[in-house]
Amino acid sequence: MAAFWRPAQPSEFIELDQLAGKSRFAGFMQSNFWAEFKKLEGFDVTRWVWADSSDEVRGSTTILRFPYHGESGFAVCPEGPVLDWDNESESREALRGLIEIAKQFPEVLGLRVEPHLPIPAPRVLRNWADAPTDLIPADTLALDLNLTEDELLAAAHPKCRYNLRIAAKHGVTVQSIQDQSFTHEFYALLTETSSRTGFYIEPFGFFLNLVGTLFKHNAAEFFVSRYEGEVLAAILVVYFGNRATYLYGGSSSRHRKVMPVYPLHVAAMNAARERHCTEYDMYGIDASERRDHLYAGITRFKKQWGGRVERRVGARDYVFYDRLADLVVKQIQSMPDFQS
Amino acid sequence: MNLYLHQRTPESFSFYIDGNLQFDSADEAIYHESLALPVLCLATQPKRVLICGGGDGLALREVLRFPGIQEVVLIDCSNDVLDLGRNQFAELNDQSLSDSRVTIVVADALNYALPTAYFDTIICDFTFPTTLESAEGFSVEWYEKLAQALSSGGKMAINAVSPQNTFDAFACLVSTIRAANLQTLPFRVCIPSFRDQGYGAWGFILASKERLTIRQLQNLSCPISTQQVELSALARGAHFTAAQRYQFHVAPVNRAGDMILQRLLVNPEASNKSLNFDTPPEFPNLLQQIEVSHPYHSRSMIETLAEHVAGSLQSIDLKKLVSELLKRAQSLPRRILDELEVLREYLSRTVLDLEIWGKWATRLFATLLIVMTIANSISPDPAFAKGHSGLGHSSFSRGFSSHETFGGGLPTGPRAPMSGNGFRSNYGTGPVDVYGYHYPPRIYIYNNDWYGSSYGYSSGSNRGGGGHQPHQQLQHKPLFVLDDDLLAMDNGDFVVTLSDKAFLLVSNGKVTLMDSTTGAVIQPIYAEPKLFDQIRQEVNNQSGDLDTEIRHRRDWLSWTGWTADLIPTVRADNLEYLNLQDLKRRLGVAGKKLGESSDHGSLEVPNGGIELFVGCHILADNRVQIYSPGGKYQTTDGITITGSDGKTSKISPQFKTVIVSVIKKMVTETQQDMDSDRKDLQSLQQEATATQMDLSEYQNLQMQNSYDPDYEVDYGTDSIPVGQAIQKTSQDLAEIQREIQTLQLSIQTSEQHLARFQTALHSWSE
Repeated sequence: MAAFWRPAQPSEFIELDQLAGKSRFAGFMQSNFWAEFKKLEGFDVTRWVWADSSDEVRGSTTILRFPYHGESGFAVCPEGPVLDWDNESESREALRGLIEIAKQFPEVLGLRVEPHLPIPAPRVLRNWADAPTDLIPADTLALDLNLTEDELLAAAHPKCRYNLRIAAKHGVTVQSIQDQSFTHEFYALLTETSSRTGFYIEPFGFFLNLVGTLFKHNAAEFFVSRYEGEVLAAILVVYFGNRATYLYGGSSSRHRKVMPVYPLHVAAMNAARERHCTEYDMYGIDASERRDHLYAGITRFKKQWGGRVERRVGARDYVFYDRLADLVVKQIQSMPDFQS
Repeated sequence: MNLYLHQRTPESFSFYIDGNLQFDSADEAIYHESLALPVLCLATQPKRVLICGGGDGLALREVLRFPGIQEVVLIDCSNDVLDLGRNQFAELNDQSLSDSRVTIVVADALNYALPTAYFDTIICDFTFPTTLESAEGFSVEWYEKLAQALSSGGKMAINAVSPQNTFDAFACLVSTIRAANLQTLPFRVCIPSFRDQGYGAWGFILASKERLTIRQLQNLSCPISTQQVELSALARGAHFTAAQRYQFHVAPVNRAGDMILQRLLVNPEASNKSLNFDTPPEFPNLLQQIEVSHPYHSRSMIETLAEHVAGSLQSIDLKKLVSELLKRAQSLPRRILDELEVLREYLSRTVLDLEIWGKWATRLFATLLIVMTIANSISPDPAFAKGHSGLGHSSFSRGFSSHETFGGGLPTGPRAPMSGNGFRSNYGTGPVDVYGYHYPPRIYIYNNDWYGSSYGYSSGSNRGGGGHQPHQQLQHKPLFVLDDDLLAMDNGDFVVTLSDKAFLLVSNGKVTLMDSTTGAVIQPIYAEPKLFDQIRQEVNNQSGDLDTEIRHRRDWLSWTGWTADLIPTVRADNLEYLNLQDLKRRLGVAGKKLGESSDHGSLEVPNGGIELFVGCHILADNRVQIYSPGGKYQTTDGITITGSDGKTSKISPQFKTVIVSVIKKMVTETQQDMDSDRKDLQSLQQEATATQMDLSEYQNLQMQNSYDPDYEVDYGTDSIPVGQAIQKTSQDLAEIQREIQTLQLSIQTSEQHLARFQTALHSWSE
């Protein structure tokens, strides 16, 4: 039966969250709480349902746009759209429908999708260009939470178990916090970490809005490790569907020898299990394990936990070449150097 | 509206709206006294006051303290903020919102009807304009409306933006207020909590129908005491340079519905550089053309994003783009059309290489890069996409902070890479990098006296790097981390770490192989000029980064330095500025001490040889050849060492240990590189298999449909003639196979090198 896109009703949001949460092709950025957060950040957010003529819901998506004074950007389906990507013809029709929806936004230069699809890219994306950046890491590591803590650690690298013992020996404690006021300390750790690694981090206000929204929906927690009362490391873990995602983390350069980061993830995984999550996403590695890669250090750390490497196709763009051409012409006309 | 109150203690808190700091209880009096008291002092016996915004009640508190105030109207659109003002902020604002003289109006002040010529003082305390709508509260129409509500002799005070971070936007506001037929007196203050957020020195603008002078500000006579501000000192914040004052006159005016203020707020350093296309454009100049589109972004982030965009342009359908552009030929200048024709012809034959495109169609490439970067940077997300950093990993290619610290950037701007405290009070206690990150202290032990004199390395028994033990070994500390492997020492030397047991000491035109365990000299090494050039370049690049940091701190202190006596944070900022200058000077000294290489001409890697480190190679027969100053070399098999004069002696244990440690490191690194390449190869092969299957399917369909040229197939989400699908898929497959070949070659080379290293290690370890 043919299907088509229509705007989602607010009464459907819970059902759509469940659909996205169960899909192995989607992530938390397709959730209602994420939509709410992005609105706070100034995005225009619309939600759509892919349903057949009997209104059976077969897919969904959130579309984000950032309509900055009419300047051109992309319509984005972060970690989506939520479709049955194993069904090539249906996913093709759904994508064609989404392209038509994106065209309705006059300032949009193209449509960007970023489903959790393993490499190689499916045929249906053959004419889609690689996006210049991936919003979520294309490669990641997932741990199976169907395993108990002991089973997981038994499968981990001996160094991981050793470092956990070191942390325990030094009396490192871990606490879970769902209090927005910790954002200040968390941001200080992130800043220090960013200084070491060179990663850009979002402004403090972003984290206030993020944490405020996620906590309001009970969709996340901080896990904080302390040594002799001093906060040494913290992570922010997001829960959606069957997956818990280690989204942000920061650590102090002090007392690194007590290995404060390791027990955080054990605590987070245990908490995720209690929430009936079956996967813990370490959120970003370099699957090729290049020694000079930006992720080299964190890849070494994350791989110590074992788990399954996921290599995904990353974000793909369907470019509206007519609009791109118009913009190029407009840009050329605005550059006096080009007029001769 | 997302309101957040960060309560540190019952008395100490900070308040945010939508992630933007509104005030911190620790220093809010600096802000509110600066905003409210000068204007009240300058007004003639103010009795009736209008406050727009300020629902926190803090500006109101200052107003109510002022003698003679009979009536205050406060208009704020947010009941939530007013609730906080009445409750959580009540102690801080002295219950100002409950004062009987105050009338509170919950409304949008911009649409509220104000009485004409009624208010002696108007205070405009709107939040920072983050949207087009909120920017209307900083428009000429609004100020005209306020001017009409001012009584004769009445005065206004306006919370502005940062003149330090966004001077053009600040000047725009001054110009806008003047366009409402008001005279202005802008000034700025340092608010430590704003500084910590990266907001910069903060600006206020006094306005009146009559002329306002700095002298008036200097001679303020205030009938009430202040908590945090020395009112007479505020005049020092009112001095601007002649160029800045000129800007106040000529800056554009912000009109309601206009984008000018928003543009100026997000593009504080837009470049007006022209592009020269007589030769292919220099990438940095090109990147400067791209405006910053979002308040979260900085110039360095946009430039990083542009590099990613440049890389991804290969995957867009250039034929389609060229075709669309040619449809618009009438709108295009001749030179662009020429480029398009060349491209069309080239693309009809082959896939376009990006490098070739950049040379043949420079204007088009530049334009496309600018357009696509802007499109990708409109939203805040891509710059923070996971894995985005300052131009890559580690420090060699790290992006540098531009103006993000010390008030650089916007109120919600990102933290700069230099966010560490390494240049503050603990400067000198351990090495620091250009981001202010403080590393654990390290010690290198060696004798200072080996430089600037002959190495005194004379006897045969010392041949092969005898592990000289100097009389006195001094401890030297790294001062500055230029790279993971390159350190600038406290005495001006440079250290290049080779392994856990060896390093190169580079100084005074000489290079020496050192044992890092004992500090002994192993062997003077040929002073390869390229090494000196690389070090010099790295020092120059990072000195440039330091210059940027120094410049921003100087800028910050020029705005706020006069508050150092009052504000400890500014005193600490001053110390940091001095320390940065100290490091810059010391790097300059180190750069001079580096000298020119005492050897001339670069060494060639011998046939079949592999470089272990500069001046040292593994030969085809697994012996190690090491070059001394002057170009003579010695060769060793790990047991004996033979000079170029043919004389042989036993290798020293220290030399052997050092070489073995370097070979071990090469084994590990080569193995890692090979493993990474193999993983990538696997992915590429999967992709090639899938693409080949698609190609075969298209070919079968073509055949099954009797080669009908109009027969269309699905190509991704498009439908195109099968012939085109075959052509495109063939091109994709060819490209993948080229990448596979390159990777296979790399793996092959690594395998050969690894075999050599492993054999050498085996024989050397015996």
